[in-house]
Amino acid sequence: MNLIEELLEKLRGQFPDLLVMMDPPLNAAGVWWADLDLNGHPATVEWRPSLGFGVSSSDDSVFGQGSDEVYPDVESASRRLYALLMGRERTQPPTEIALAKLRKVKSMSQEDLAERLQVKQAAISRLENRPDSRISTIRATIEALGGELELRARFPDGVYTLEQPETQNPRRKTAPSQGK
Amino acid sequence: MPSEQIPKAIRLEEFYRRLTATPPASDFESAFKLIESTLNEVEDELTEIPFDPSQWQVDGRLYPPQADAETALPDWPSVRRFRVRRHHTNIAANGAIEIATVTGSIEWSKPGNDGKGVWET
Repeated sequence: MNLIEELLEKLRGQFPDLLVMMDPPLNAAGVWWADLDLNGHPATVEWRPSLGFGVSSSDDSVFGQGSDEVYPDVESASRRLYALLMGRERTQPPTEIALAKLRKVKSMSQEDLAERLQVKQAAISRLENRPDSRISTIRATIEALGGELELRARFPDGVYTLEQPETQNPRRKTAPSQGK
Repeated sequence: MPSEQIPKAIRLEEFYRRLTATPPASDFESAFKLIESTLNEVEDELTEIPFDPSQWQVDGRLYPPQADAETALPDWPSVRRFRVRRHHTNIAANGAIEIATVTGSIEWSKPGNDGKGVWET
């Protein structure tokens, strides 16, 4: 069983009425698709074996668009799909988000984040209201929220991902592993 | 996400308009390249979002089908199918093209240069 089959089996266990239509690739290493429907509420899953899962459940689906949301593993994708199907929710394409809102989306209080970063809660409040912060500080914050900071520069001729030098911050507590 | 400026729906209409205006393709390879080059040209002209096929999450730009997204179509050996989110792009050996939703609604189609449609080959 591959990872998308594992994901679908998990969802079928949670939703016995779930309709699933697989659209496998010609080459098993290619892109796998699954169309889900729970009592008329649709969702689409895209699995790229080397990258993870794309999830979409929006009314806006124009030819040529990528998936609205991406998740690195079965666990995170299944959690999101459970919420979408159970709550008949829609996915959202990526938008600019403020640090404070991101913390709330990740269901973390300022106190919890402060503890992970080994700082006082007031420092988190200042960080979230500061117009300009060090990249190392933002990176530590994103990692404490369970993510990874990626810096990309867009130019007319393409998009470049910036290398980030390793930094050592003995004050920073390692965020719990999300697993991939 | 950078501004789309001209809405996706308008750009998609322009893509279909240009495909319609182009002479029909004669085989799979020329049809596949036609779709790829036409959509990339439209997006380069009408959106400020740069081409980045490694960005598989939606970024506001429309991307043509990619080779690794070919799906199995065992009952139609002369047709090759490519999936993009909620659409199938079906291309026949005679160069005929059809873009349809996964629920079967045909958005756009064009016969090959022998006059036959995708499912008539």
